[in-house]
Amino acid sequence: MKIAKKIILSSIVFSLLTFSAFAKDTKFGPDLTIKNKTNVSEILVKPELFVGKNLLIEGVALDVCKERGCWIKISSDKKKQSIKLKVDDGDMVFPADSIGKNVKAEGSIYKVEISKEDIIEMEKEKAKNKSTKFDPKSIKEGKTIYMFKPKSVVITDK
Amino acid sequence: MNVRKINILVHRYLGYFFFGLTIVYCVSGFALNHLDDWNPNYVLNNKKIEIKPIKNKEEISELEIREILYKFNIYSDFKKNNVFYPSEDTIQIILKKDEKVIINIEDNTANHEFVSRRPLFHALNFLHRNNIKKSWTYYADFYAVSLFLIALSGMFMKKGKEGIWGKGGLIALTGIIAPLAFILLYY
Repeated sequence: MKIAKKIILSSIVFSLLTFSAFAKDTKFGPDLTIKNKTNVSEILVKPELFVGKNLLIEGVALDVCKERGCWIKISSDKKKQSIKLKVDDGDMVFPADSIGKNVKAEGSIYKVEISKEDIIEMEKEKAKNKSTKFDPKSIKEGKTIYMFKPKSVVITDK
Repeated sequence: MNVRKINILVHRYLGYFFFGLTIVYCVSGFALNHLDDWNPNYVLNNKKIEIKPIKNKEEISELEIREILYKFNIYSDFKKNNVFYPSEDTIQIILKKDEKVIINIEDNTANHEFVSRRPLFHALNFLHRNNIKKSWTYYADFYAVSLFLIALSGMFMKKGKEGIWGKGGLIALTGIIAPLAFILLYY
């Protein structure tokens, strides 16, 4: 009985210690190292100039991958713009209920060539999720897009 | 206390203590194993409606936003700084961290998206995926080590023909065949 009591007591202490370290901010990866941020609008003017450079960007979360949490789209400092932060599946899992929160991310821009077939598949999936119709004939060719690959992300309430 | 008794105690008490967490990993593991078939974390709700064309596509008016929200039976207030223009053809109004309205100014439609956490599964997956990080990492490590000890001590629960050098060992070896075969075939 003495052993059982000791085990139960140690378990409770260990569990409480675990609970005590929960934080409000959602952080992924190591701490941010850059202090000066680069405006998203500045990057989007000529994204190819920023490919591979280590940057800090900031914006409001507008959309998140609901299936795997593998991307998060954030607002730009200018209208009619946004940028997608994309990670490999499982590297970071962005919570789908991050919408409207402030996102700071350190990482780099990379170029992605998307084939016509892939665009059709993506649009089909999007239409399925949103219960809307999609005509594959509306996609004429592939495209080049630029995304942001983060190594550190901090999501905080606005 | 002899080694055999310690072995039994380790197996028994770690088994009791981690019963709950093992259920967490079982249920969550099953849920996450079928990511292609369902969304184990969230329930997605969408409702699309047609709207009047937006007068000034550069700056939607407060009145227009209210009209659209009323159409969705949303009467809560919205903040002006939660209205975004993410692309050439969309305007987005964030209502809450899991609720937004996306206006398509090209086809004059609005889509109300509401994401809710899937009860129970979201919490279990949250633990399983170690989204918390921090000291949960150590707790989960402790669980992993304990699971190893439970498995190892289990091998020595019985002596003789039923034990590791008999039927028990044979069953353990059989259990290794499937994962090994999958590695050889697909890795």
